[in-house]
Amino acid sequence: MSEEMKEQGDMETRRQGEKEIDISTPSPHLPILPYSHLSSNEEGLEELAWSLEASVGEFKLILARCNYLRLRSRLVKRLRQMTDVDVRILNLKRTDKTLYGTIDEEVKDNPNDALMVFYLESVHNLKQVLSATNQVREEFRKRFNFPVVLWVTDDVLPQLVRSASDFESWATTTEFAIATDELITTLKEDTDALFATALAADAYCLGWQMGYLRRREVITALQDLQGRGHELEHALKARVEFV
Amino acid sequence: MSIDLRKFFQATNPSKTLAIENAEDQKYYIDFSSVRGGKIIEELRDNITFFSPEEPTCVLFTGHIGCGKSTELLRLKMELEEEGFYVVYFESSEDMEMADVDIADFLLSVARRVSQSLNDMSLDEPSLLKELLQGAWRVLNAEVVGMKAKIPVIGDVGVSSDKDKFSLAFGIGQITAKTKDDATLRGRLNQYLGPQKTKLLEAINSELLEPAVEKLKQQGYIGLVVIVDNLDRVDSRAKSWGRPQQEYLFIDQSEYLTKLQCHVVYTMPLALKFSNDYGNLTQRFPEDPKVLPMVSVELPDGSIFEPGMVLLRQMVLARAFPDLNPQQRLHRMTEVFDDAKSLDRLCQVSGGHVRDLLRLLNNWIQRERKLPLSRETLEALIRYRRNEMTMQISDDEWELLRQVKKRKKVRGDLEYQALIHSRLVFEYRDAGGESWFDINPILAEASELEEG
Repeated sequence: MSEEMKEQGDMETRRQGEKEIDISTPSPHLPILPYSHLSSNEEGLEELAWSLEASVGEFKLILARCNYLRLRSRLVKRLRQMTDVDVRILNLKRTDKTLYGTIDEEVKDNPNDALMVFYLESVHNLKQVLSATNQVREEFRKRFNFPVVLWVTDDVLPQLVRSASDFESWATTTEFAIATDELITTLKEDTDALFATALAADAYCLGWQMGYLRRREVITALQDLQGRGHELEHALKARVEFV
Repeated sequence: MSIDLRKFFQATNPSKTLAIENAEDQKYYIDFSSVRGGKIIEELRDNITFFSPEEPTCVLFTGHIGCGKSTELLRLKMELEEEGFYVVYFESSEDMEMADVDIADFLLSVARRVSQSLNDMSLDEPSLLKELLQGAWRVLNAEVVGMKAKIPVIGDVGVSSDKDKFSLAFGIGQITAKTKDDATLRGRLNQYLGPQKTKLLEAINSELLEPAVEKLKQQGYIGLVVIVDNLDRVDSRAKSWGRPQQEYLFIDQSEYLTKLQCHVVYTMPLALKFSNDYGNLTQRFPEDPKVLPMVSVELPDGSIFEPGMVLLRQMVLARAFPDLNPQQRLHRMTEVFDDAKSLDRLCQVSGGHVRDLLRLLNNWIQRERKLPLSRETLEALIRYRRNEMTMQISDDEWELLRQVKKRKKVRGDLEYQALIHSRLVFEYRDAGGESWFDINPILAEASELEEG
């Protein structure tokens, strides 16, 4: 009975976590993706699941490199199916000043097996947050006896290497790529959503962060596709240019 | 007995430092002094135990972050203890906000750690220090109470509720707790103590260090050594009046760093070695800073330095086979790696940087999750790491890197500091103790480094 309750409780927190990280998903049009989209990342997920399991009870820094928000949330969902490790999710806010303090606050009364940190890329004063992290890195390994997965984008990574090079030197990395057709789908949905945001003038302020993150994501996706030598079809190209 | 993969993975976690007094960690420890060009730790030790056991000494210790400084300092501590010294080792980052350090914070931190360590030794009540602390406490509390209470009611600093006796460590701890995370209060404290720093230094010497050394000698110790680790974390941001913090602390305030009446070893940021003010620094300290160089894997002419490789291989294998002797480990190497060449490639490409090596190895295990580890994966990880490094390199920096590659030298200016700090360039020592530089081997194969 109590096990069941606990399980339910877990599900509850998980659901909350998912809801929060899923801000990029336009709910009515949630695309149902066949598993083939995930298969390229299955290996990376297994790697992540194994590392978390092997590091429960001690500090370990893992960078998960992935540029696309929606892909991230799908990956996390799948990861939870693969492992019993209780992974807590921490969504950083734009205004957060320190990584250490924010994590400390999150886990203080509430121990967990592992922690995942999202939205580092959206933090307002990133450089300062990163240098502060570097300064207090000793505290991470002394006080946090659980693995920490930090999700990073290609924008954030060089800044992390520059401003927190010692902290970063503790990290192992798992990379998540996105398949070309999935990338195009993402680009379509992102541009759609940006249109929607721009049209609903009232919602604009509320959706600011979403719009901002998504615009960046569109730019990354575009560069990514160009890098792969993929030509966009005209309609999509026009939409991207408008955004 | 087969290898416990999970344990091997944990033993290679790059965020871990070896604590030499821990029996388990001792099995992982490899003494690299023979390939670091000069036995730095031995020199530090002899400097105290042989040349000047009675007179206080002061030496700065530096090296690339992650090259094993803390591990070596903990070894120094152990060796000094074996020789009969009382050693206080602490990490300055625990007491101080390393982005904003002033000399008064520093002196207080030393006093706190020494008196904490000597807890049960009954020294006379330090009246001067008590007075200074109470003054500081008043200043800090006045700030908190603000306008509301005209006469702030404050308890005595340094007196815990359970005993009436004044405790220096407890008192300083109360002050540190207030100021560490609060820039305004830190400013207040330093405004108050700054002008009195000579008095503070004298009080620490006459009321704490000198009587402590006296008592320690009565107990059979030869002397007192204070090792301050992590002081190299002081970053280079400018103080409010424009002076970079590193220069401010280690050069402008050197008088206070060098006058403590016991043996002291401080870690210093490596970047200071490349500062234009470095000459000033060496004049102000009795000895030139000791640099812990990287483990050499190559010679300046590019040929393999076998003694370095031998020890690095052992370092890797010890993490897989902590209980075997070096010969047995080599015999079982193929259980861990698909080929002896894969292990050599790992050691070579690390450039002798211990943490970078562990990081690659740890990622390698993470990626494969079964043994033996394959060369193919290692090469993929090397490419990934190279890509990660090149993302942050500007055109100007590529030019500097080409110069380093050719000349094996680094000039002292800001750009080079950045290259050293981001571990794009490493410093080595040859057998004669002469230093030379090379670019991180991971970068060596980057196309940008080809001559045009």
